[in-house]
Amino acid sequence: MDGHNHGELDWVLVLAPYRKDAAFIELLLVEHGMNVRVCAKTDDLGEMLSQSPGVILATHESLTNETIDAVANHLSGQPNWSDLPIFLLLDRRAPQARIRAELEKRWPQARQMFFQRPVVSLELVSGIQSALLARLRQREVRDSFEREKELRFELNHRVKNILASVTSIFRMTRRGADTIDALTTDFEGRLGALANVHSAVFEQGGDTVALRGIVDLTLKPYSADTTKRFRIEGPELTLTREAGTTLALCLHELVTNAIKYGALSTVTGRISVIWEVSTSKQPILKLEWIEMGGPPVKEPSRTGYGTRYIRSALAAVFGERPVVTFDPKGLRCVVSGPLSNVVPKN
Amino acid sequence: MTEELITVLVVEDEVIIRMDISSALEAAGFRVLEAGNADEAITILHQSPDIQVLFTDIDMPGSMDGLKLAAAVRDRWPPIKIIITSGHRHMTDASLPVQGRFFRKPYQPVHIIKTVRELVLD
Repeated sequence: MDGHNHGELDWVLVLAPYRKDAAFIELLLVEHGMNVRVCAKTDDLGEMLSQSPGVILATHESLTNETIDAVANHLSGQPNWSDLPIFLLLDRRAPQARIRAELEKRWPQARQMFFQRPVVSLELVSGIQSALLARLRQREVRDSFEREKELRFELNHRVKNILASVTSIFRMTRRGADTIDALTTDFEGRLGALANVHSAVFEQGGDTVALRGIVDLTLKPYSADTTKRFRIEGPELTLTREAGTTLALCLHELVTNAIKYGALSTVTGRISVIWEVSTSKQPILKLEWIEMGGPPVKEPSRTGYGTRYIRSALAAVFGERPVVTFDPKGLRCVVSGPLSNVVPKN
Repeated sequence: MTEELITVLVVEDEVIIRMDISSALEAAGFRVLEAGNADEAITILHQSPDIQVLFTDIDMPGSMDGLKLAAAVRDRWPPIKIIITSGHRHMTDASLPVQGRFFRKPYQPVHIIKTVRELVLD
């Protein structure tokens, strides 16, 4: 009987058991582009109601106790956003006032509209069309409620993750710091890097961030002087939030290390940040941080937070471990891995 | 390197969290191996017969979560003691599907250090 696929709230349920009423009504509504399902047996009513009709159209003859109960039961389970319109076609000789009073009592949650038969097609069709439009608006409201719920869960999840990360960063910074001042400076710097990349991701819509933007925001505070200390080169690339965040934190560690011990600790030092994407079938992103012109570099006696973080974090994002070289001429950090690991999938 | 150095395998996909607990365990005098997911952990388990304790997060991407990893360790490396953590699942030592200890995130590294010692010296 029913070969159509109906969505939610966008179809009319017809209850019209007398003679050919259902067929006439269906024809009229279908002619006007509406989706219609006729309930031929009262036994099927519960099942059909559970599929969320947008509008119910019921004739006088359909209003048995059983039907009224089934509809009442459906109405009592309706969520707050739902306002189900029911069109009732009554005979001129029917006890209209009594039926109205009875239905007001039994279906308090429904918006009831009464038409006297014979109905004027124009009135009935435009009434139902307008009710269906209102139902689509209600469906949008429902979807935005659900979206909001999802967002709140996601937000909770992210806040928890961020707080856990900040706690860990604090504990690790404390383990590596010799004085309270050093702890404060290092911790503020790391938190600042996290905050900056968060803002950059937010400004780009929440899920991606430009690689150049990450590099610029990390190095900008140190590019103020007139000598050109940085050479930044590479194609425009959009990274995932995770990859962008990790990269920003790594660049922060590199730049603070350069200020303390490397190229930015002298006036002549320079740093190149260069990235390129191979033209192979599965493109590889290669990113290089190269310092030069600073004091001679010595391999540190113990692995600090920065180096450890860079190694672990870049390996997790790129899928390949970075190569960190303590070249006497300047520190180098080179990492490469499949581009697909760091750019959004689509 | 002494004979009695305790080796712990830390399995956690969040790099910062993993580094934090790993460096705390190292500072406590343990040898630490790190894995970012269960598959990496299995590879390390095959290569390192001296692992005495597994400390794993439950919620990780990949073919196996931390509970499946713990079950695999129980079946294939039964002497290894197991500590499990999660920020999402509410479990207890008793409700774990393997014999082990459970800590809810966020945990204090000192509690993990103490538990590693208890489990190994038990």
